[in-house]
Amino acid sequence: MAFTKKVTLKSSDGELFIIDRAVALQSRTIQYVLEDTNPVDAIIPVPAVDARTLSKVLEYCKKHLIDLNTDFEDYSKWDKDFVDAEVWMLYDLIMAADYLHIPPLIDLICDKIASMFKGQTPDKIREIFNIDNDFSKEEEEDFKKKSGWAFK
Amino acid sequence: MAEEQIDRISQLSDDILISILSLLPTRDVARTNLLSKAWRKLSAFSSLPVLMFESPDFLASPRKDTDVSSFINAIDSYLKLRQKDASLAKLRLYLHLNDVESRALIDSWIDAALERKVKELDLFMLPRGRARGKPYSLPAKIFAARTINVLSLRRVILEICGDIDLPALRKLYLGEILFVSSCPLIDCLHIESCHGLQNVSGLANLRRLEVLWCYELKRIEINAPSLQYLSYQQGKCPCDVVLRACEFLRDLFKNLVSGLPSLEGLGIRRTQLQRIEISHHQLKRLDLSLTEKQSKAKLKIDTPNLQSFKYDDTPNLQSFKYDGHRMPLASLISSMNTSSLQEAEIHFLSFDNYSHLFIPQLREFFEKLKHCQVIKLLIKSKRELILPRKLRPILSPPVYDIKHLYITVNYRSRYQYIIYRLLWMFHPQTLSISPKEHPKYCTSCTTKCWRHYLEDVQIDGDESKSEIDRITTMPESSTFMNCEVRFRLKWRSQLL
Repeated sequence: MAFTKKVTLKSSDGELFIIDRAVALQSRTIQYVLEDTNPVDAIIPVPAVDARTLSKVLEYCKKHLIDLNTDFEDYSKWDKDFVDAEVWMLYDLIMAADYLHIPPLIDLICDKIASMFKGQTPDKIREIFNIDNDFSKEEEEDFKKKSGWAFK
Repeated sequence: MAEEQIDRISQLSDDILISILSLLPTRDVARTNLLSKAWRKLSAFSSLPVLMFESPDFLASPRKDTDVSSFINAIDSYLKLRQKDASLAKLRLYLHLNDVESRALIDSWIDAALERKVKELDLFMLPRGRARGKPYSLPAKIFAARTINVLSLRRVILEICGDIDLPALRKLYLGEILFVSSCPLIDCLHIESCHGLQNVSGLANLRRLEVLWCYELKRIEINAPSLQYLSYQQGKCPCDVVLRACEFLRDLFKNLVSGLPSLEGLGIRRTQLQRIEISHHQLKRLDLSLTEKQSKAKLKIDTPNLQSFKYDDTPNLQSFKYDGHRMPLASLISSMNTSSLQEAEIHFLSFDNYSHLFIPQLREFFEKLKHCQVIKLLIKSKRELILPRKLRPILSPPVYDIKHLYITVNYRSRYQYIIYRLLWMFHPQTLSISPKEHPKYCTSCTTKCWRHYLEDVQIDGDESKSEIDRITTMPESSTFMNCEVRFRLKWRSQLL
């Protein structure tokens, strides 16, 4: 069976991305679609991901395909720069990676988000991630008293 | 709409949030309890797959206001109140032993983890304060833990009485421990500062082995066909390293060589070896660094490129890099087989014990290297190449065959002497000189400077010392130019 070398993805906002099949195969979701239907020259819709996020995800996939043989260090430096992004971008990326099922990208972003939690006070974390505090003052004090080890 | 203002992290799926929390020390996870009710539900200790506890100020000097008792209570409840069927992926305990009332308490935590089928166990038990000198003794149960696949142990005592039954173990890290024995499935082993460790053997599935700072080690015997990486740092005692059937070994560091038929590169650095014998036919790259204490080391190199090792028959050696103190030249030269050496790089460190024999030896050494296309020489001081006047006549004839000689000189402004002396020994076809600080010119410009157009230079004048001195002084200054030297310059009309 002849495989098409190129695959076309369509983002939620209608933009088309023509990419190498090998790049697309890093997404297990797309891999399943290709295996099931083997659409020749067909367009694969990616309804959960907008163009801005999809192009960033594909940037990651391309890098990790081409540079499979580069040194570990080069790789980690690139990854580090890649996730050095605004928080909202990280959300978009991780949701896209989750939808497209690209485990190494999910791990990479989890790692980045975890590093933003490390050593921070709850107040600071709420500020970084815009989390609403729905505890009363009493509940808060009570918990702090019980879990003193976590706050010193 | 400012998308920055929305709480989107709480909208991520629980799976992803749990993955994020699993990367955090449990102390940080506990703090997320205070973020909001949804987060408190998420980080309930009963469901966390990863628990990582670290004593307050672990490895740092203790503070007075740390709440040790609530920390200990937290470990206890996180582990023991957890449901038996809630499996645990990883438990890390990095503890100051003086923080814990009794060793039995730690035992009970490990028990609790084993009961919950822990897969990865990471223990670092630091004896300090009143616990100083009394390291933690690991419960024997750990060695019958059938679910553990990654085991990392530091600063603990291993007393193994019965059999070791760790059928799932894939990774073992041991640091500052007393012992090791064989686990057939280990493929990655790192042993660091294990005093009392004397033998490492067995380990047939090993792919990666690092043995560092184990001073009492006497023998490493590895029979691992798939070994790919080996790093070994010698301790105080002589140690036999025997490698058998390691066909896939690609990188070999530190100080061992033996029947590794497909080895292509070898680096030997920071050892105290007094006797190095290398006999290898395939070896292509040899990178050797000797310390001051090894100035009397016996080297025998039988790879066709080397100096003062026993390089026996390594006819394919193509590149050789030496850096160190005074070469044990005499022993080297006689045993060297360098017929296919193409490139040699020699770095001399300072010579305090200069001997008048050195220059003749060096010349003899370079005679051995004359098949090299390229010789790179790094010279730190002109004293290294003092050439006594009375020796000059016996040095002739010079070594002719060397094509390119690169010299990097640390010693500012005086390299004309060095070149003058080298030209007594060599008549290379080209001579490149660069000071240690490389001048940066035109490498990134689109318009090339004049150097690119210069094809050939000939010098008219007496072939005298003063002449050569003047030429070699040229790059730095022309203050000594008090007689006429004429350069014939041949230019190319366009860039190659």
